[in-house]
Amino acid sequence: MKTKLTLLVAGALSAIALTASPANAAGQQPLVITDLRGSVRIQLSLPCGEPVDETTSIAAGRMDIKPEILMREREIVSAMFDLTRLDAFLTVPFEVRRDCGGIEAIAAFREIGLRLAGAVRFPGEEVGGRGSGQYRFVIPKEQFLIYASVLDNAPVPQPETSYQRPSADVFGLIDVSRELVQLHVVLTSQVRLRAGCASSGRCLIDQKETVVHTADVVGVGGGCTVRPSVDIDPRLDGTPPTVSCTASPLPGSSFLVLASDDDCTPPTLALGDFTLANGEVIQLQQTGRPGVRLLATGRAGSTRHFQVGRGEAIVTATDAAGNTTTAACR
Amino acid sequence: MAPFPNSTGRWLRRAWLLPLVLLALPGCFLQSGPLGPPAVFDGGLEPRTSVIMCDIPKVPQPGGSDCADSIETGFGMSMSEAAIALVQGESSSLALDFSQAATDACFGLPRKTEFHGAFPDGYAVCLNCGGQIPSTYADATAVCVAKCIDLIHYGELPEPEGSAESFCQLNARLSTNFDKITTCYAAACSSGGTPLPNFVDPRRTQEPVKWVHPIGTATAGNPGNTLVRTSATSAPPAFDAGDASAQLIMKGDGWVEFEATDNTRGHAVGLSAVPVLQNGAPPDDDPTLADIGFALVLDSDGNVYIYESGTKVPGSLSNGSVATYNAGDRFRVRVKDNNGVPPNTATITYHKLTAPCSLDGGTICASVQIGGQTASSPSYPLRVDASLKELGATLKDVTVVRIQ
Repeated sequence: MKTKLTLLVAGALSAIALTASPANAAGQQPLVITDLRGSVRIQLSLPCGEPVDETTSIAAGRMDIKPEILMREREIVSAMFDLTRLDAFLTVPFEVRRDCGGIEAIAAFREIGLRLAGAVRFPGEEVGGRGSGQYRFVIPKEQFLIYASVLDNAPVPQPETSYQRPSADVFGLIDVSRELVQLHVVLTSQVRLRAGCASSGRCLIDQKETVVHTADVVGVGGGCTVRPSVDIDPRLDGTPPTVSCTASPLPGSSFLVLASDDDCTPPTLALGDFTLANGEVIQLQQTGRPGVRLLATGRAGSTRHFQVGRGEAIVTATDAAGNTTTAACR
Repeated sequence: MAPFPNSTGRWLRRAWLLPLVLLALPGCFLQSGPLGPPAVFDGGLEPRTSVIMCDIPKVPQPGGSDCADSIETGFGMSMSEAAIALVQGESSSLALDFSQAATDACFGLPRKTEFHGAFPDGYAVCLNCGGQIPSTYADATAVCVAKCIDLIHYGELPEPEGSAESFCQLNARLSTNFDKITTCYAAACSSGGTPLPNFVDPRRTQEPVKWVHPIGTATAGNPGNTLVRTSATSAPPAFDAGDASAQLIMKGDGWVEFEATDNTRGHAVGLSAVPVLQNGAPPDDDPTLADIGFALVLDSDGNVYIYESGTKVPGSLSNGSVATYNAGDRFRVRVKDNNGVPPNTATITYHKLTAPCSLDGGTICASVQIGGQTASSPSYPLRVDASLKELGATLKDVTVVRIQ
């Protein structure tokens, strides 16, 4: 019996452009990005043994995306992006081992390939100030289709393939000045787990579980002018990072925090004394009490909820050289 | 307690099986919510390292217009530019039809087609070529049709009028200049069938001119697209040795590109309209400038002139030339489709590359236009035509870009 492959992939991809191509140039060449980085976290509770909570990284890939920015008298009239190609390979070999009642099971993967199954055109919204060259975008999940192709040790014809649609809208940031693209994709689905099945069809285990694939991937942008080193000389880098904290289309007072920097290292992000992840979506509630407080979070991977005093919804980005930039969440 | 089936997997010892998220286990299986019906396209068993490039249009939205708006007109890719876009690494998911019929229907704006992949590159379909063609699919086009059906089903768009099958049979095809002879490009995808990031599409490379009508000339170099005059120089020297290409530019935009190996001999390259007879284009038995409809002449005085059917066109420089040249300078005679105004004709322009540029393609070479046609627009098809003046005069690396 052929098993349907369940491959849930979520990741934010960052990339370094291969060629310099200003976004507002009149040409038809896309940004061709062949330095793809990121990670994929896979979470699944099992009826027996430790739950699966594994992370693997993106080993290689390619993204072709063309900015289509129309300006008139220095004002942006239209900002569209044409994503025609997105291919990624996850690091292999990738193996998951579990033990239950003395029985060891192994899932081993020789290749995990993911690709965008259809070109997507979507609008972008300039953030980070006028002329920043930073655009955030949200792609409705109905428009985003992923095709996965996996080589594993399952006793079925190889490769195993499947189409997957994200469980949430895809969002991200494009920094056309630094030739950086960050993409955040989440997939969630139900799996039916059955084991110990008799010929009658009755199984000892027959239940459904929600597979949560939470992706929180930080990428390194292109157009880097300073290469990171252990003893970085701050004099080499005087360019502050770029950061934005903008209202997310997700329900509630949610904000998307995105940052990039020219020194090839993602900046450190902070809200008060709390460290944020690049690409993280947070919820903010303004109160009369000064300071920033983290309210209890739900299960791992859920959105963090902060209370902030008036005027304190400020995110700070600091790069490796100590340059800082702040952005108010709005 | 009923006995449980023994596991059959080679790494399992009992019937208790741990379902894992990315796993297929005998006697234990994972089922996710299905996304659409079973796939139609079967790429075959690994290795799925070959690729077929397909133009797979998206199903138009019900009630939507297939006319481009003004912004789409600015950013989309003209279909007539497909061949040039390939070699210059340009693309868009939106293709525009600027033909007379299309613009008449769209009130002066082009008709648009949105593709699943980039146009003109195409959508990469990875497969085990030898294993699937012809046993599963009769030809490469059938592969494109099968993939098109899957993209409609899994895209969860409304079914096209008729059915997905009929829409795909009618509209899915091989992409621009995809090599129909080799059927597939090898080593383009991983074993599992994901496109490789660093695969270089062979269509990015300009096509070497194949010289087939030699009169007093011979080919040289590898792959034989360099042309050398081998007949003695006439007295006085004259453009009376030449050749013409096998390739024809049948439609769309394109160019012929070339260089001379010295600036002390006379070299001419251009495009000539040819009739299409039942057995193909007639042989070129006239090696003179008069036979070349639109020519750039890199003459023995180090200057560049434009000649149209043997008549010099006055240039912008004081000596009647349009530019100077040195050995190694590259030039282009470009063709631009008039999109039916007048029907089946093109406009010719002349260009000089202003910086070294890789012939491997994928880049836009810096160039300057040095002249334009003065004669009436030629009709398609066009072929490359050349004439050389002195013994040893050499046209090096002559290439053509065209929609094949």
